[in-house]
Amino acid sequence: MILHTVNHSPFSSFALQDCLKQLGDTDYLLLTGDAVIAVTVPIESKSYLFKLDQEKRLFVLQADINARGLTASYGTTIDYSDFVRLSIECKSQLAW
Amino acid sequence: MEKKIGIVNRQPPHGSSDAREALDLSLALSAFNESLSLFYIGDGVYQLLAKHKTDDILQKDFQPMLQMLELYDVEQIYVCQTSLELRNISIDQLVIKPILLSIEAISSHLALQDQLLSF
Amino acid sequence: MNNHPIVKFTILVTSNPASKQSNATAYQFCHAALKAGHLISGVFFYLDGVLTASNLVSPATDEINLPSLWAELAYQYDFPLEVCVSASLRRGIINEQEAEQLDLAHFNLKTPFVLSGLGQLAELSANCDRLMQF
Repeated sequence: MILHTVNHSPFSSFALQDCLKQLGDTDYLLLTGDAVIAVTVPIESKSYLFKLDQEKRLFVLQADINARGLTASYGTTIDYSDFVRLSIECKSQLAW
Repeated sequence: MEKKIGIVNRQPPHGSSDAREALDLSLALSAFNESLSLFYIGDGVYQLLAKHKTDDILQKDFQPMLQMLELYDVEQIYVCQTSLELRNISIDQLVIKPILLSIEAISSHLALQDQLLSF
Repeated sequence: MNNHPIVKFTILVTSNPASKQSNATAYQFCHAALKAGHLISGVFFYLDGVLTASNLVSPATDEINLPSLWAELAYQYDFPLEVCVSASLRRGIINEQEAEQLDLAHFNLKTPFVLSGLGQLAELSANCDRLMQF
């Protein structure tokens, strides 16, 4: 079980798309930094992200949402201590 | 038991130092860890495309170092087949002979690793 | 405070402290992990992450000084800040010993950062429960 972390905007990088291609069936996805933009507007991979959210496998760092004046439309918003817990729950992390 | 370490190479060569320094790191880690796997996905596959000529761009040609992976007994070198196909690259154009894997097979190999480093 | 097992983290920082948020995220992750009672085996700086180890970093007073924050956290919780020597030398991060050897007029490695080889990353990787990269 991998914790995938993405920190690039879906509008300027393929990191999120590439990550979604490799995401395993039980893996978690955590959006940090500019990647939080992905859950604030309709994007191409929205239906996949939405499915991940339904399966409780999509997480968004709340501080990064707040910092950019955005509102998350979906995804479980978390703080840094939750981030630590997720990293322990998963066997490894892959930073995109 | 020794940890399985996977190094994921995603960037094309030369535009940034990521590819070259990831290879430095891979060669160094191979001296300490025999369960090292290298993954080349996305633009990372360009690192393996043969015949780099870097004299005119003031960048170091690190492809001779790729050949050293074999000397260092790094045998688990995986390349994403779809990434190659998307870029019209065939396996015989590569400087080393890696193991070709589908996107799904890459995912399952990534899941086997205890630690992942990504460049 | 903690009824869960203590986890040992190794942190790999590959991001530039002056231009990438990830470097700050790594710091905040460490801070949260330590506050939760976990341990940091060590932080290893590689690629542009090594720029964190310069003692010449001098941001304006209303800006964050990440090198100082890292140094304070390392002192407070007593974990090593290891900086890859080859990545450092090519980016102008030099300690006294290297300056002498390379006949350079200055050195700028911040304490308590130390220059070390990639073997040290192998060591940190072997002796931790989780490795995180930022």
